[in-house]
Amino acid sequence: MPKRKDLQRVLVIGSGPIVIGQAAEFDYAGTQACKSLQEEGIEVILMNSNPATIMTDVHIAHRVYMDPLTVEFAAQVIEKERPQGLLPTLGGQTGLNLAVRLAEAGVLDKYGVELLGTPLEAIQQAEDRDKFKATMQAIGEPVPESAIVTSLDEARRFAEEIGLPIIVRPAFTLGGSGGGMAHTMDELMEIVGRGLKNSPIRQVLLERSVAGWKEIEYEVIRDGAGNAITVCNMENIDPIGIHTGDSIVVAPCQTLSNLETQMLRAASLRIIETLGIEGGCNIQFALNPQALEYYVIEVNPRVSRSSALASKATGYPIAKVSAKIAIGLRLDEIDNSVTGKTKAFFEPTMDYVVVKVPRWPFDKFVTADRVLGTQMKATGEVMAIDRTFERALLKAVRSLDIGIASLRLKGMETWSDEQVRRRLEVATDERLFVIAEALRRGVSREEIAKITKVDSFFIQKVGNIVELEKRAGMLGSALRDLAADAQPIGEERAYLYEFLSMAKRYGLADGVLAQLAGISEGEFRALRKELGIIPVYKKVDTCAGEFEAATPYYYSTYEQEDEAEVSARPKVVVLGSGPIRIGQGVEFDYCSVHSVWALREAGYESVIINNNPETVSTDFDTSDRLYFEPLTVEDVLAIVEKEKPLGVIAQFGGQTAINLAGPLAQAGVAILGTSVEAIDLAEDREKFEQLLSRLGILQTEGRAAHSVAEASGIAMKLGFPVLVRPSYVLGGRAMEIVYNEAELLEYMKNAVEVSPEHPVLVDRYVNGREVEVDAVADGEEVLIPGIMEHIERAGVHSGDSMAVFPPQNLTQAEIDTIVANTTVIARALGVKGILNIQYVVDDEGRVYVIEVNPRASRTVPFMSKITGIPLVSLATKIAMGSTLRELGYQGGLVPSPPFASVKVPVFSFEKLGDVDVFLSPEMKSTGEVIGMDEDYSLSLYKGLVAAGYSVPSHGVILATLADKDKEEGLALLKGFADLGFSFIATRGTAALLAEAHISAQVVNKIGESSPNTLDIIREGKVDLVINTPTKGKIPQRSGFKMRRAAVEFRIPCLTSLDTAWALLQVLKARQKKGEVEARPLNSYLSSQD
Amino acid sequence: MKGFLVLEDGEVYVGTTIGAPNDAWGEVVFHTAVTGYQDILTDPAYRGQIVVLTYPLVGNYGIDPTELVEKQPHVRGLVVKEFCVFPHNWRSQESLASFLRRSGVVGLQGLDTRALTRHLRDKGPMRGIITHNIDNLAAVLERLRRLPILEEQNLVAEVATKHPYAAQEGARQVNVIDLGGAAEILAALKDFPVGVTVFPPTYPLEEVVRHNPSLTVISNGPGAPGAAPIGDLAQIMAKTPLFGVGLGHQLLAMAAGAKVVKMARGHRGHNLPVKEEGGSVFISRQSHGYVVDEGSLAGTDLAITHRNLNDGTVEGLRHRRLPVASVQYRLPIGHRAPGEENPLCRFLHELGISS
Repeated sequence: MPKRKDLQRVLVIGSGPIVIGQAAEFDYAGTQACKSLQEEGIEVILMNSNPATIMTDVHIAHRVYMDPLTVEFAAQVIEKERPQGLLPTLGGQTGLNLAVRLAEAGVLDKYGVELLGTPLEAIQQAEDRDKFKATMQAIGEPVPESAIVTSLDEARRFAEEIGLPIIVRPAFTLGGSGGGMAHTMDELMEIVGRGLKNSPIRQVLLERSVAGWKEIEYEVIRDGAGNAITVCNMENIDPIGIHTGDSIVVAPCQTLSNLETQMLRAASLRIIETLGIEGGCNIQFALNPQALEYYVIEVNPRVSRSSALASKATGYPIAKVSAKIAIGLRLDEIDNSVTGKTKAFFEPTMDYVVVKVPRWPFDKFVTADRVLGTQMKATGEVMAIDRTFERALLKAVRSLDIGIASLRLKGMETWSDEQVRRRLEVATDERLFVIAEALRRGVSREEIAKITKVDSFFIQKVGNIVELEKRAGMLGSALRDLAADAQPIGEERAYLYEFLSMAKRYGLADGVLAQLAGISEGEFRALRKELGIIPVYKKVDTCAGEFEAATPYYYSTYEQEDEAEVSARPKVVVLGSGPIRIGQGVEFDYCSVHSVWALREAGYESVIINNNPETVSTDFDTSDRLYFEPLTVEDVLAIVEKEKPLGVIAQFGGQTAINLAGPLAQAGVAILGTSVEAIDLAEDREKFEQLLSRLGILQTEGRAAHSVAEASGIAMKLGFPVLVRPSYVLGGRAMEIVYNEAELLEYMKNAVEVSPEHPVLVDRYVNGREVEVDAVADGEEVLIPGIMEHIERAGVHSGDSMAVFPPQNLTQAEIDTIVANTTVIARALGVKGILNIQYVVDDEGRVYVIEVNPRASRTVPFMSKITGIPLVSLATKIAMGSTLRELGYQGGLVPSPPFASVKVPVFSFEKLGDVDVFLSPEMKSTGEVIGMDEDYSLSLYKGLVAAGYSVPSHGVILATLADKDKEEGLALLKGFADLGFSFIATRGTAALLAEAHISAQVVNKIGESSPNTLDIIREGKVDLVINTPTKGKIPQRSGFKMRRAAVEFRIPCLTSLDTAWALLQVLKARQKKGEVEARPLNSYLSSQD
Repeated sequence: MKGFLVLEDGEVYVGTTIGAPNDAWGEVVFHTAVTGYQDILTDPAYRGQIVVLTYPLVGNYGIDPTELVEKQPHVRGLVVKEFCVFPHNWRSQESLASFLRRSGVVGLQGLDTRALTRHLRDKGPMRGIITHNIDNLAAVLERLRRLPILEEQNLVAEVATKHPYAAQEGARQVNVIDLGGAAEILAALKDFPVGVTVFPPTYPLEEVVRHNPSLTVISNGPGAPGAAPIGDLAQIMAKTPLFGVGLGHQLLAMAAGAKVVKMARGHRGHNLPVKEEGGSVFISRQSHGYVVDEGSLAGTDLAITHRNLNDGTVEGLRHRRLPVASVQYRLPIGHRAPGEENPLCRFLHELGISS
């Protein structure tokens, strides 16, 4: 079946903003799909509201619409573009849901748009629980007893019939959001209530719990002619009951017999044949660990997080092949791009072990409920490859970038045996480490397996690591002697050599072994290298070495043969950014990828190191060479020593990469671009302060406190409120505004550990407009593509505030100062490449520096896209020695375009219980969207709609304002009243409204008698909550409870007056104007010329 | 115990031995299946070979005794990256190492099996020996080079039935000439109401077809086709319907005038793609080191029905005039996916025998 000739133009729908359950994997899949379609000569129209992605680059599709992913906007795009086909299965659940809604609304029929790939009926059959169950039963595939319910009563009756525990899954939601496991009738009622609210079709599936069974996944792919293969199977180390996105996953399956493997493989292929899937598909099974018995749990009729993992694990590009299938190609007609010789119809076979470990946000959300269940909580994941399971696991742990290189958490040794045992029983993000600790305490493998339901195979593997560490500890002094005196000492030396070879083979990090030996990591590394114990690199080739592979996709292992042949070409290593986490998202992958592309353009061989399976940067054809490795000094040095590059570029991989610059430079590695000294200068608070005062540039006054007493003293001197944070920060971690000494002391006690080595910064809090600048400098000239103004005033983390470009409220004088300061700072630091500066501008127009980041920031993709200036490419080429002039640019501020672009943050609060939603200096958002329009208000509108806010034109506002906000808040609420909104308010706020002759229904606070704010929210009487908190974070407080209730019932909750003002402005604009136009990015950019 | 795999080209791989304590020699081949070591070990097709498994962790699910009924290991040596010390599966009764020891098979672990695989991929299968002492490597190599090559060993005789026997009762008759792989043929025939008699390969062919059986199947078996102890199939080809599998397929092709050649690396895996000429594609198990030379088919009455999708080599043949067909790939067993049809069953249907 050759490619269809009737398809010339195809619409691809992306997945929108990054949220928990839907992360960068869809940038990877979408980018691959768009490229794959273009390869076949198809004109690709892309719709995706996420500006931080590679996918929305203008060259990935013919036209890119960064408009909201709603029926209203999609219908406009379809009307304008008249595509013949729509490819819905590559944009995650968001893309799929939108496609289904477009079909149901009749839009596709009206314009004669065909759904490509998996047919709509198949999607519905897989997604609608009732139809799915009936279909499975019809072909004899076992499914757990279940019922679809649409009310609490039905749920109760089902539970009475089959008994508890019961798993609750809402239909059509991301990452199982709103689901959970109910052990009691009360829990059942609560979870079902929430699930019904979350499901767009108001359906919830109740299912007999098979918790404790093995969770096995199959990635399958089928073409339109019915040819089908399994790409990969994967085993979740964590049993059924924990969401696969929150499970440690191993590929291929490790503990399944051949019989079990063949049974599930055949079942998978039967299922996709029956459903009629055309493209990639993920099937989840529960496998009885004690009998030859299984249940089909779930089918995802689209590419998914698991398919991205399977693609990276095997080298088989599922998204690319799915896209080709969608336009009519057959598996046996599509080339296997890894071998270049064989076809896509084959089942990859692996000769290594892959381990995926989720990255959770609990380091940021210290109050969040860490217990893992059926609702996914991880923001990202890492993957590691090795020829032993142990080393793959330890490499994955190192890749998490959580400051841990072994299976030991800080402070674990102080836990009592009882505590260890208790923690084994409840699965949290720490479970892996708890299992290791239990083994150290002598708890038996069998017992741990019994408690955790983790297969004892894996516990044995963890035990091997624990044993090796124990032996290393016992050999510590011998290792120290060996390192000190490198003379041969006969048998003992041979013994130590054998031991170290084994320890490295099984993955113990240099740092861990050095610590156990009581020497520095550098000393240990020198010893190891002197002994000739160095890693080799092997290829991921889809075929276990059977065919020679053309792709340069490598992983390290400690074995004999190194098959990564190094070329003689000049080459450069780009450090990636590791797992997606709060504060370090897909933006940095965008930057890494563009850096690699720029290097290629400039004639260098590009080498990327990264460990995130979800990303474009780890696609095997992005760079000239891909090393799928942890981003630690040890792992990066080993690659550098092998590849001998001109140097390493560290400015694009976020804080992860920049943190490596210093240690790498110390080890003699050339850091290209901005020097390590400049990076240190910018990040060392005191040195930087001196520099700024020498340059005559204002900054928010502050001091580093090395003790609690010192912090108090500084705060008294500066005057409250003050901004407090630890010195080296990422995404404003543990940053807070404190308004009085009591709050300060509480912060110093609970939020940070202050010490002479780890000072806490105490800054004066300037209440003003916050602006942000990304710039590219070549040491002389400084190019500023634009200034972004934050919509929320200072005090809200830049990643969490809405921002607009060009700025709307800056005077020319203020702009001039910002440009001048940026230029002076970049020059003074000697920046060669990219930098980001955040300023706050007070009411008198004074411009203060808040912080300077001598690296790419979160806003680089946004600014690059809307200005059309390739910031990363310029910065990379400058790092390689070019100047702005040579590249066709010059210093100074680029004139603003005639349209406004708004960045709106997106949060995943509904996935994370016990996290306060109020905006603060600590970043909480997981992703972002863009809104663009010639009219500023309409760009805001698009941004808010894209971010998922329902923008009500009238309705009821629940208002509760803090005393400090009442004066300003009144004007705001008046504005809403003028538009016809009515109010429910707590006593104080209601009194305030009454003074202004605005009537409001008075409601009690939570904790007081009913009806209180919680009841009002639960009963669905509120359309919008405006609440400015007096004090957040503490879950017991009533404001916290109210905000959480709003999140859980999907009611917009605004906690900053500025956000509310923005909404008001949008509503006013919407009253005046008609339809808002969808427009491609390309047309905005050409309107600039 | 420290052990070595020495190849006839002089390459030496160092590891530790597990299982039986003796030396072992044979043709060294690699196999890409991730699971299924127990099935590979006990598959007569691998008689006389040292099998290198490309998947690094082997033995994880132990040994399932229910799968071992009437089965014994045929592999001479098993080479892996790492044997699992504590297997864990509800059906497992013993570890793979213990099973190897008990059944006299040598295991070698701890070597870079990917490097070894790449070497065998580039240089082709060759003789090798697993030994515990290479102090005198020249002597080991000398000994190795004096050992018989595959073509010089009558491996079929070691695995084929020695005497004819009736396997099942039924109205119409199907005969099986057993070259060692009769079991999977019998499994396929179970669903058909036919009488089945199994013959040794040395049994006079005229006798096998004397009572005009509805079909005679020539099974798969180990070793080189030239070394298989069987009579002249050409004599009966025109007289009776024939179906060949694996080695049986190669022997039928030779009888029809085609040539069978040794492959550069062979096909050994559980996930190899096959394309039916003008038809669909499916995944198959394969275990062959020899293949019908496509060029030699000109002038014969054989037509290609199946090819390996990876390298285009012949995987199935059919006689243009006679009811004779054969497949190189292995018959599907156990759990089967849609499209993974059993070609023997299809041939029986064509002959008017339905299950």
